[in-house]
Parts: sequence; C-alpha cells; structure tokens
Amino acid sequence: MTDLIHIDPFLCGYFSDESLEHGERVGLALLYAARNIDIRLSQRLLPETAFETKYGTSGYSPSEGLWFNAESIIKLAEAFPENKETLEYYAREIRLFKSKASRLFCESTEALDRSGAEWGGGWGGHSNPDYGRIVNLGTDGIRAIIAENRGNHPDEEWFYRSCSYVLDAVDILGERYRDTALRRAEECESAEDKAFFLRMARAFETVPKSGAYDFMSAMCSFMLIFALDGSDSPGRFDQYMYPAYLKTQDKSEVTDLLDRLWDYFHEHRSWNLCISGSDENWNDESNALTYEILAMVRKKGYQTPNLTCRVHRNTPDSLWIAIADTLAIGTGLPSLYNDGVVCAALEKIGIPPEDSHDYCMNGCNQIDILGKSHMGLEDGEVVFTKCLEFALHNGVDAMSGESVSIETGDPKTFETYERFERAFIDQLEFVTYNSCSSANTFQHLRGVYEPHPLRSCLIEGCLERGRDYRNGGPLYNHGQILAEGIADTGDSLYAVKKLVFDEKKYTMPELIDALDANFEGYEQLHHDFKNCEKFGNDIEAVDEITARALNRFLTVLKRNNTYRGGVFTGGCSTFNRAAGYGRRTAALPNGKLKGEPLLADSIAATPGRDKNGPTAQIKSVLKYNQTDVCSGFVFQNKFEKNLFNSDKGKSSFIALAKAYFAGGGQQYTVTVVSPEDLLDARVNPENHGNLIVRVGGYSDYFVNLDAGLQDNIIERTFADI
Amino acid sequence: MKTGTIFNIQKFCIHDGDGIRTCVFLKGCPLRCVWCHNPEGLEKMPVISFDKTKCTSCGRCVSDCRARSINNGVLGFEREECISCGKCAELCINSANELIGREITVEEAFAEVAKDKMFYDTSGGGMTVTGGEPSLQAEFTLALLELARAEGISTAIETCGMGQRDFYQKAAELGATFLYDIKCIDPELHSKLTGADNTRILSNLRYLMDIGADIIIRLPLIPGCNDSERDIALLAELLNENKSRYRYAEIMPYHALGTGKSEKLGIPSDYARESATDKEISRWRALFTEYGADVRV
Repeated sequence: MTDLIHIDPFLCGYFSDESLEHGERVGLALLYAARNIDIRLSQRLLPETAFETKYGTSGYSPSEGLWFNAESIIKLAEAFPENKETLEYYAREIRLFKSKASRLFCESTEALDRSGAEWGGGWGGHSNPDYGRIVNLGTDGIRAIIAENRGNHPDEEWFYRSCSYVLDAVDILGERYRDTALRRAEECESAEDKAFFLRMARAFETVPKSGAYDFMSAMCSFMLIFALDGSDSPGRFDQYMYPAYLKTQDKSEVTDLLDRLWDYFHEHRSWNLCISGSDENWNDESNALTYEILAMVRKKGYQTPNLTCRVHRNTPDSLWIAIADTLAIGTGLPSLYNDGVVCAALEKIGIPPEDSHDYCMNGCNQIDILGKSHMGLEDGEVVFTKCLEFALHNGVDAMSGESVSIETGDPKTFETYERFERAFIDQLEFVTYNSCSSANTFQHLRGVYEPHPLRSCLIEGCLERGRDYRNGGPLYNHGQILAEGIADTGDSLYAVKKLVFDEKKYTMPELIDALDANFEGYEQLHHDFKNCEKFGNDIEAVDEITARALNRFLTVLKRNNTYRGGVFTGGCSTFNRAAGYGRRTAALPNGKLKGEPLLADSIAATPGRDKNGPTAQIKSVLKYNQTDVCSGFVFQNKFEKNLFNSDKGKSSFIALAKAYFAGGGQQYTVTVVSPEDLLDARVNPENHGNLIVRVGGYSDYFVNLDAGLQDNIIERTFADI
Repeated sequence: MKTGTIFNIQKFCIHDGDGIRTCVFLKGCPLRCVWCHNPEGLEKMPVISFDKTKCTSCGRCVSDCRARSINNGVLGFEREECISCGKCAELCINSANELIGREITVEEAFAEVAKDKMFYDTSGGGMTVTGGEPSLQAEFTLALLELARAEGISTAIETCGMGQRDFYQKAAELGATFLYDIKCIDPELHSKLTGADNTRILSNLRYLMDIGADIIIRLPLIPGCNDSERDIALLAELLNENKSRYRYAEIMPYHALGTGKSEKLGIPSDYARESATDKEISRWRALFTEYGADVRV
C-alpha cells in the first residue's frame, strides 16, 4: 500500500473507507492526492501541476470532478504485480459504479439526438467559482462558514466533511509549494530568480490559509486554487484582486506578475476572464487593474483567456478607448457585454440587482453569477432548422427517412401560411420539451455521480444549505438551452409566406418536391427562394417572423424547471457544432442545399445573407427581445483589422456598440476578417456579401471588387497576420 | 410626389462626413473625370451592369429582349438596344445582370435613411447625399434635406460644385454641410481632366464661404493627373487665402475600387491605375506643408 499511495493517491483516498458516501470519498481522494502527488513550480511563479496521475488512471477535472479510468487501472495492475489484486478490485468497483450511471444516460431521447434536432445534457464543466473567496478570506475564512452552518444540516455531515478535506488539501498544497519554493531558491543561480522564489515561499507562509497581504501573495493563492480547479474561468478578476492590488506599493510588480500569468493562460487552456462592470446603483466598477489587464492583452496578443469586458451607461470614455485600442490588435478581444440588458434579463428570472450585477462569463460566453450560481453551461441545444425540416416532412427526418418526431400534417395540403407556421411551432415545442427533459436527466446524473466539493466551497449557498454545487447548492440554479439556426429558419418561413402564400408564385407541393430533389431541376425556384429578403438587413417583415420563432422557444423554455431547482432559459452561441448541424439538415426554403454546412452565425444572419452592413444587421437582431435571454446571446460583426487603425474607425466602432447597447443589445463581439475568409469569398461570394474592406480612406464590399483588387487585399491581409 | 433616380443607399459610411452616415447616391453627373470611380453614377438613366464572367449563356434573359440573343451558344448583348427595363436582372440566376439605378420617392429614400437614426445619434453622423451629383437633382435633394431636418438628422452634400447658385443657397439654409470637391485650379487642366471649366465651381465655393456655410474641402489627388508641384501650390494658395472660411480640407487619394465597373457598364475607359501609394501621399502632404496649408488625409 505504501507504494500505491505514490502511484495513485486518488485511488487510495477514494478506497480508504468504502463505507462512506460517494461525495465524502471524493473529498478524501483529493486530500490523499494533495499530500502525495508530485508537485512542481516553474520560474513563472505558478504551480505547473496538472492534478492527475502520470499513468492516466485518475485525476481531477472541472467537468467530471474526480475521475477514474478503469482501463488504465488494469494496465497499471500489470505493471505493479504486488498491487495487482487491489488494483483489479478497484477497477471492477469503478466499472460497476459507472455502469449504474450509464444506464441512466441511455434513457435520453436518442432518436431526436441522432437526427441532430436537439442535444440535452450539457458538458457541465465551466463555472464561475469565486476564487476571490480563497484569495481574500483564505481557507480559514471558508472553514468559519462551514462551522456556522453545519449544525443546521445534521444529515449532510458527510458533505461538510468532504468540503473540509478539500480545504485541508488546499492548505497542504500551499505548504508543499512553500517548501518547493524554498528548495528552488537554493538551487537558483540567478539572484533575481532566487529572490523571486523566496518571496513566493514567504507568500505561502500566509496563503492560502489566510487572506492575501499583497499582489504577490494574492497571485500565489489564486494560482493554487485556479490550477486545482482545472484552469477554468477566472471571472471578475479585476474586482476580487483589486484589494491586493491596492496593498502593493510597487505597481511594476503587478505588471510583472500579470505577464507571468498571461503566459500561464496561454500555455494551459484557460477560459473566460471578465473585467469592469457596474454595481447595483450603476456605479462604474472599472479600476486601475482593468486597464492593466487590457494593456497586457494588447502586449501578449494571445487568444486566451477569452476576455469579456462589461460596459454600461456609466462606462467612462477612457475605457471605451482602451477597448477599441485592444480590438485594434486583431484578436477579437474583448467581447463586450451590456449590463443594462444582462442584469435586466437576470432580474426577470428572479435574481436581485445586488447579485445580477455580479455576473460574469464562463467558458465562451455563458452567463453565471460570480460565486453564487450554477447556470448549467449548455444544458442542451435545439436546432431550429431541423424542427423546420420535420414540419416540412410531417415529422420525418428527411436525411434518414426515419420518423423521429410528431406528425404535424402533410405540408402539401397546407392552405394558409399560418397552418405552416403552426406545424413548425409544434415541432419546435416538441423538440424543446425533449431537450429540457434529457437535460434534466443529465443534471440528475451529475448531481448524484459527480459531486464537486471544491466548487461547493467557492460558491455561495452550498455550504449554507449543505448541498453540493451540482445538486442545487448554489443560490441560483437555472439552466440553459441554446437555440441554433434561428435566422435560417426565419428566412425559410418568410420565403414560404411570400412566394407560396402571398404572391402565389409557387405551390406547397412544388416546393416540397423541389426540396426533396435538393432543388435539382428547380433552378428558377431555387434562385427565387434563395434571393428572397433575408434576416439581417433591417427588413421588418422577415425580422419579425424570425424574432417570433425565437420568442416562442423562450416561452416554452420557461415552462420547464431544472432538476437543480431553477428555470430553463435560452441563449444562442454557435460553436463549431453549427457546421455539423448544417450537414445533418436537408434542403430548406431559404435556399440551403441538402447537407450544406451553412448555419446562422449565432443570433445574426446566415453568413453573407446580410448585405446592408453592420447597422442594418444590428437593427435586425434588436428585433429579438434580448432581456428574455439569460445565457449568452452572441452577436458578431466581422471587420477588417485596419478599421481600428484610425481614430475615425475606432470612434465609429464605439458609436456602433453604444447604439446597439442603447437599443437593447446584450453582447457584441468583433471578429477580424482572416485571409481564409477572403479566399473563400472569392470562391463563394454569396456567403460573404457582408465583408467590408478598406482601401486607403475608402471602404467597400469585398465581393463587389474587381478580381485584381481582391488579390491585393488578400495579400495585404496575409502580410498582416 | 417628388421622385429621384438613385443607384444606391449605403449604410455605415464613415468616410463621408462626421460620424456614421448613410449615403444616398444620385444618378447623373455633369463632369466626366477621367479617373471616375463611380461610373455607374454618370448617366441619369438606369443602366444594366452585365458581368460576362458570371454569364453561362443559359438564354433565360433572351426572350422578349431586343438587345439580347444567343449566337453560336454565346450570349450577345447590344447595349444600344437596351431600354434598361431590368427584366434580365430578374431572370438571371447567376447574378450576371444587375439594374443600376431606380426611381424612388423622396419619402421612400428618406425612410431608408431614417432607419439608422440611432447610429447618427451615438456617432454625430447623419445623411450624405452624393452621387453622381446631387445638384443635378436639386428638387429631390432639397426635399430630402427638409425631411431630415424635420427629424433632427444632420445632413451633408457631396458636390462637384457645378450646380446652380440657388441650389447651394437653399441647401445651406437647410443646414447642410458641404463636402466640396476641388479637383484642380488651373482652368485648362480642369477642362482637360473633367470635360468642364471650373469657373463656376470656384465661384460657388466663394459664395458658400461668403454666406458662412459649413464646408469641408475635398481634394481628390490622382497620381500623374493633378498632383504636380504647381497644382498643389495652387490648391494650397486657395486654402491659404480662405483660412477659417472652411472647417478643414482633406486629400482624397485616388483609389482603384472602381476598377472593373466600367467594363460591366459598357463604358469605354482607358484609365487604369493602381491606388495612390503611401509614398505619393507623403509627397503630397509634404508639399502642402511646404506651401503652408493644413490638410488631412
């Protein structure tokens, strides 16, 4: 056994007392690991340790919490014959445990999932724990919260024990880092490095057990807990690190430490860091650290972490300018969130202003309340275009020919547009209910099988209620289902309304036959449907139909409660899955071909279908009621990098963003045009009708330019990268 | 109802006056500048732009059209016969045909402009009437300015200066800013490059200065055409003589964005050039400085 504890301390901890609750055993696994796992420190201040064994047998990750790999454990048993019997027993037990979980997993709605209409379950990995709790209160501060509350929940004593093990684990790691730092200081040749490691060792005398006393100690504390939590999303870093910033006299030390931190972010994937914001009285909360961070993002030019900047009615001009200057480097960071709309949306689902104003983002753009919520992170997804396909084929998946959804009538017999839209809405509702119910199955599973005592210590409500972060512990426990393909669906609905029912240029049977033939032999029909007015051009009729489809979805969502004890809310951000959804969708009345990997860019138009520039696109997306959406409602505008090279370009961008936010926009991201975009625009101009490029002092649509000029611009863009 | 002929209403223009603007492009221009980069704005009549690289000679556009025929499997297009009815643009599934120019009422055009009011408000922008040449459709332009003023939208007119005095007076009374193009001072060279004498242009400019209109002078500089040291010295002299009688002056370096348009429009053009280089722009800037005139680029 002595051997095994160094080989795999997680396993030893977990199996140290099998009579205990699973959750408590998870805490013990972490405690054993903290004592025994190899730790290293790098020159860059930061612990370099991935919290897992080198054999791939077990470890700790944000998505699963404690994880084991039974196959690797069997292999390990072969390598260590003296522990063979024990390890084989562990592997068997772990397989048994996992099989209980997987039986539940199978009960999700498989056919719809396979068709690409929905996806429920969520990854569940990202979150916004309050790392500042450790930085500013220390583990002793959290122990005090446990002491205050555990008496009220005698049945959950195992949960408090588990959390206490984790806090002990954090302290043990701190002590071990101190010792390692001292050893490194002795080994160092350069006086500078030696001094650095000595300062680090001194910091670990105090943190993480107590609160930080300066920026160095705060960073030591932050890094320890951040790395242990799997390098996820730092959240409102400029807020919870600000007290320590103020306590540091020499600000160049802050810059130096941020520099080291950004290199760490770059090398280990880290997610979302949020800066600036407002309090519940709309006082601006940006501070000197906010500007330091923007300067570091400009200096480094990394894509990580995904930087979010919150803006609001009192955001100072100086911050707007710093934002534009940062966008000018061309990494598309930061993305902007509008407190006015996000807080209003959160308040609609019952989160009071004092907490709604503490929101930040995890992962790419999912909204959470810092250290107070678990909002589900992509609990599921509903693909509008697939629902539309079902409505056009009476519940049949036109790609597989399988009947997977409800029958909503033979569309060839529909005599009014309203009847057709009704069929679509029925499909959408059916798929949405399914997505919510499979999301709840997964939430239940995660609550039972993947407890997360570390995050339970960092998210308010868990220790107070005696419940795990995954099991309804946090103050807020809403869920989120994302909508995909909204604009493609709106465009399709509108084209059917206009060309079949209003102008009567085509009949429903003709349209269905053309779709079934993937438009082959129906070139004129295809041309007409494809060139019909599209969402994203500030055209009331088509924008209104599109917004109506989304509103329906949001209304249905709100009727569904989450397993964890909140309501489902909607969002929309298209990840790399979008192309896959396009491929699994048949021909559609917006002119999309069967299997064409094209799908709307989050809440915006289908790529290239917006031909009237960013202001028209903004007007269109403002038709959605964005205060009904709580989980990231991503709006991207694509600009050439050199828009930001002139003061006029920068001020124009700021004016665009301000107008969008004043008009009710939630989120705004700038994407910088890449050379690949331009090359593709030469081949497929119809997908890039919105690309504006700048030549000298002039701007024009790229697709309108002469071929020779297009070449020049492509060369220039390549040279820029 | 007043109508005008336009060829585009373009949103999010950031180089044609203050802030974010919407440009209304009017058809018809009295000048024939050899470097013209908006040839679709020259004639008042709508015109078909035909991109033969996109044409597959499918023949959809041939029936009912006097100007089109298929000869040996290839589409033929006799421009002289074309009445710009636009049917070919509707029928074409390859977007090879496009009708450039349409008649529009003042109200329709203004409704499109007013859609972006929220952006004018946050940026200090507004509407710019350009072309072509707005003064050729004076009544339409002035009606647009009036509607804009009633809605609190600021306005600008980009003009070559060839319009009637009366037009400029009324436009100034309606509060328009003038983006006033001066191509060159030498009358002979001006005639040679643009087909017209510049006496009226300079006189209208002086008039607008006299009545205190808001003027931004724009100097389109075309390498090898109007950028000799003498040309620039004369321009600088004009600017120096009238200091404080205009808001600022800016060089508009020649750009090649219009390349390729002429051929699609069937307009013979032997002017083919690269955009002005940074080196040329620096030279101009240095010359203006040398002659004591302050210009932006």
